[in-house]
Amino acid sequence: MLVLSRKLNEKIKLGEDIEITIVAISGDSVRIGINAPRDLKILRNEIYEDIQRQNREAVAGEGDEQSLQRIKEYRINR
Amino acid sequence: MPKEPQIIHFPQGIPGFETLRDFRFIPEEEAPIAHLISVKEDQVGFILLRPEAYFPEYLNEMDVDEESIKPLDVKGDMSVDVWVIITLHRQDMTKTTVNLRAPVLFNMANGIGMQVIFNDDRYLSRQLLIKEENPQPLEEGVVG
Repeated sequence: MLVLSRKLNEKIKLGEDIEITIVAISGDSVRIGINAPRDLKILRNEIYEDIQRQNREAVAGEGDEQSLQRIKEYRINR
Repeated sequence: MPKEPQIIHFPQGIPGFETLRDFRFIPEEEAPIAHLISVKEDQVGFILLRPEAYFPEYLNEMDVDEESIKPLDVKGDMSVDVWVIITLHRQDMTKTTVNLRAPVLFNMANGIGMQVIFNDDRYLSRQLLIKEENPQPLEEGVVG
């Protein structure tokens, strides 16, 4: 991994069209500004990991048919 | 005659299952539910819900810009189908959750799908499906 030191308001360029700015530093947290093409997906890593975990948990298996049936009945009865 | 299930291609896979790209899409006729089952590994399947059935404002409030759904290659008057993944709870129905943070979008015209992840913290990946103020217990032991 490439590691660089940056000070407040200093920037890093990634390729032609991505620019990262250190916007604020406070204690152990750093605010980062990112300029990038809008079709580039930018996510906090923990959010992506949460969705991965949630998807794995959501995989339906045997025995879920009954649970699903109850959800459907709940909807119908409401 | 049952309809052939449509195959939806996910160019980026689905988070957690990045290597699975093709899924059979099987909507139910009687309920706002569909099944999404991997072609390659048929034990990997998701249950999808039409969010508007439970969250009437969800589709209106959803903020999806064109750039973020570029992989769907939406052209002209093609429409995008929005579903959310259900996580069932076997023992307690009231613990059923849906992933409003990361809806699954389909372009039915070209059979391309993607799971979009919102940065907006208002949307939960584990939104309770059944609101606590009106839990309506089902009668036990009643068989159709």
